Amino acid sequence: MTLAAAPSLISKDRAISLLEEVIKQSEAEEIFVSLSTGEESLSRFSENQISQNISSTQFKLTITSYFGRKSASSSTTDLDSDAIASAIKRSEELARFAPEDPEWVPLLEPQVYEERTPAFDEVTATLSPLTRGEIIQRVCAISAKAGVDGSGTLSTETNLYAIANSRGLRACNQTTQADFSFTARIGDGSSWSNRSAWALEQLPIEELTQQLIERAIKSRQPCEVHPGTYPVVFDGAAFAALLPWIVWNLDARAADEGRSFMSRTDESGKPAGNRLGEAMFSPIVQVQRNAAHPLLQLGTFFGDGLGNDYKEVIQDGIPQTLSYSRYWAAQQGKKPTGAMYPIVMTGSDQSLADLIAQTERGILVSRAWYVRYVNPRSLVVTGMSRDGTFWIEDGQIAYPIKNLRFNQSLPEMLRDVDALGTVQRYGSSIVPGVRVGAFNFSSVTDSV
Amino acid sequence: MVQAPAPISEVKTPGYTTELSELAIDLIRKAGCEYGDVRFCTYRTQNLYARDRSLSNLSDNVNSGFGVRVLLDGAWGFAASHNKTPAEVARIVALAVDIAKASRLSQLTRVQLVPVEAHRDTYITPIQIDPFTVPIAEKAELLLNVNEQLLNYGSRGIKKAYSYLSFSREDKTFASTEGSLIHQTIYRSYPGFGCTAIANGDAQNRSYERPPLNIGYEHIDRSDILSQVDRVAEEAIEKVHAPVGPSGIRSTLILKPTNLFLTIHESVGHPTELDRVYGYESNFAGTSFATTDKLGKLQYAAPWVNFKCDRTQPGGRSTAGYDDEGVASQNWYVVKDGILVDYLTDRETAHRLGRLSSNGCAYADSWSSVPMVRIPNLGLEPGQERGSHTATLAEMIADTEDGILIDGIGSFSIDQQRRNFQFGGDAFWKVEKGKVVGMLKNVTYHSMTTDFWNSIDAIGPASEWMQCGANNCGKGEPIQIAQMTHACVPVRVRNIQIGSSS
Repeated sequence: MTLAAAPSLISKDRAISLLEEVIKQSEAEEIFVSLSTGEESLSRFSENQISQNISSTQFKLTITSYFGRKSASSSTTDLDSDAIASAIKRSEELARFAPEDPEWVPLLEPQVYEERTPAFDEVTATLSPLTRGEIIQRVCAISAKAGVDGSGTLSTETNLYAIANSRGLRACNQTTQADFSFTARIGDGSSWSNRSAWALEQLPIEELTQQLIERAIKSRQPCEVHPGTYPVVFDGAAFAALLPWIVWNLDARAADEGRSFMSRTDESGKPAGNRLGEAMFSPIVQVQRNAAHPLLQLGTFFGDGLGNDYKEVIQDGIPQTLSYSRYWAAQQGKKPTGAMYPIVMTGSDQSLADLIAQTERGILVSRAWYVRYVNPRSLVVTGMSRDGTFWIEDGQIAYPIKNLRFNQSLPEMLRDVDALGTVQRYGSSIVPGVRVGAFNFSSVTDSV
Repeated sequence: MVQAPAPISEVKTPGYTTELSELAIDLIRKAGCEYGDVRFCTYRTQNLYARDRSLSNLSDNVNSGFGVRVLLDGAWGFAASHNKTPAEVARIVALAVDIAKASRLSQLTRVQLVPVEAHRDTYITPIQIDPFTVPIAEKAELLLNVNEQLLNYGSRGIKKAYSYLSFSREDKTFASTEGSLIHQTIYRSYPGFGCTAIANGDAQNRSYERPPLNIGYEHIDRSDILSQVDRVAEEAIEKVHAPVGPSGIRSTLILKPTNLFLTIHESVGHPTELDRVYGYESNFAGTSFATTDKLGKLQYAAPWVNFKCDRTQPGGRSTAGYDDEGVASQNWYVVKDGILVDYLTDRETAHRLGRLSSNGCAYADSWSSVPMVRIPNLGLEPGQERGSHTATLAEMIADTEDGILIDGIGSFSIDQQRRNFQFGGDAFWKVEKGKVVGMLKNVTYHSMTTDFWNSIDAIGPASEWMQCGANNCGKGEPIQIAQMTHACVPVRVRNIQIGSSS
């Protein structure tokens, strides 16, 4: 097989010098520039064969020009000088005629970031289509041999992200990521999970495939249980679809303005600050923002230039910090924090099987699907279980059950967490399997 | 507050795409592929978003590149790049061929495509005003005026306001080894606003949009937008003070098109995507209950219900001359007289179904994305004139003893085979003895797809037809975002579960 020539991705030094060239060309009073470039590949398979197989080379330069309190942005995916000059001009033209922003904040001065290098794996960055195809060929063969329909994805990505501004701020990170997800279907049985890592070799692809095939086979002929409130054991992959909703809603401004579950209300029902420091959740819930976690080793800064450093988000069930934008922090006399991700939730050394063994009766949820707000103020969400839902009886999986819709207050869910399992990486989150004492299911479906 | 109008530099569409497309096609043929196509795309998007008195986002972005898709020995390969040079075209074609060879390793069944006529054509969205020629100051002023007017209700509880304008122009050159060379330019416009009222320890939103459509700046009807602001603010205030809606009961629903379009999208659009039916999405977006053995048999809806697709519909968000496989736009029924009669196909799934042609639903959201089956404009036909189940919205209300009227979209969720769904709304009113008697809040309705559509007992007339739609439909891995219109009329549905049943 003849391998096509590799793309000519730009280096860190070239990225920073390109940003400096843009700053030099700018006629604005101030300028902020960012650059993202990389290579993304993804193989997708279903019915035990590849159905989609792609690779793309990406580049994006974004320019924000400032005139006093006025600003505007433009971006281009062209690397040539004419396109860049045009993008600079466009952002300046927009910014000159933009209205003044009453929430304007000055550009950041140079920042000090965590002293570490994000993970970059050369093998992952240069993985050939042939190698990807061979891995999937093995997964498909395992599925076919077991008599199941296997589908899923295997993706790799390398990305360089750099920022600079006219006040001297400079930063650049280069990262890799690999991700594998797999669904096994057999008759009326189904299972799914996924894993993410910064290097392909860390993904337990064939082991996970085998486990999921076994789970799919066990999930056949599901029984129906009545909707109601039950203890639930969440596989980490399922809990990873719920926990981020809590963290996304830790915005300080929304809390202070009375729009969030973190809002405090006075006796007359008016907003009265936020609930930071209240013992709102189970004391075993510990959540951190930790881009340096060994399984993540992600970038050191956010897109606006603030550092993505370690933060205790929830400690012993008590929220420790909210997310303060630079504007809202200035209004409230706080330090700006940036967003509260990547999410790392502390687990234990107990396996999912251990959590099940400690459960007298309840439900095992393997995947949470189509989770959406029902009430943003109280953070009630709805969604479905999917790809393997089981009834637990006397510490064992008794039988598969039909999928259920849930309507659940997520702060109450976090309050009712009573056991934790081991952690895994799902996307950019580190999450354990979790047991919750009470979880609300409202209806049943035959859908597999 | 806003200065003189700003002329914005014109972004030129590259004129070299035809030559590079022909180069790509020539290289694909030389590589021995049985099929190949290339798309050169340039997207210009202008977004303005105002939060309270701040124009928090003002951006004008250009995104361009090309993607090459090849079919080699019945296996797909796709590669894409932002770098539009002859050398990069050669690299990307070679990479796509290598990727197809890798796909071939696990190929059990050769992909086959239904035939398509070769077209050499140009399509441009008919517009009256190019949104990119309108001064940015005029646009910003409209948004800040809307927000100021909303925030004037601050003493009565309106504490947050937002408004937005979104415009895009998609320039696309498609060429295939079968001889097509198609240039398309598609314009899109979308305005809207909303606010949050805060009181009694609660926060409630109310919003208004002019639906996302393929249309020029003429869609930004300043007088219409400004005339809606007071109503929206008053309804937000009434909503935050309104009683919580019932839960655990069954009731009659009267759904405005602004709410119903999303139910159509989720429970009719997605389950009739033929790639989902065949399991291509089973790892992510799910499969479908509407399997091919039910074609022509399944009583999907009441006999007076018809769902028709139309990619030629003027203004429709997925209206174009051709899809991303060069298939000409067309219209067809998926549900006729309540029966499932067809699907949404691309050339590959149409062949699997045994059809001789595709109905043109292949669409990619970017030059770096692979075309796949996407919901087109899919609408609910108005009730027949003087039909036994045709009624105006006013007639439905007057004829309802006890029910809930819903406007706008809120919560939405549906299972992976598109049966068990739960929807909310943006505003709810209690209907009692034929009259609207006041607002409710926090209402949801729950049903199973075919139960719901078979429970419709009244459909609005053609005079109440509205083009509502979505601009954020996610599907695929990696996820792609598609846009489509679901034109529809109000309906009344009987005996639907309201709120949680436990």
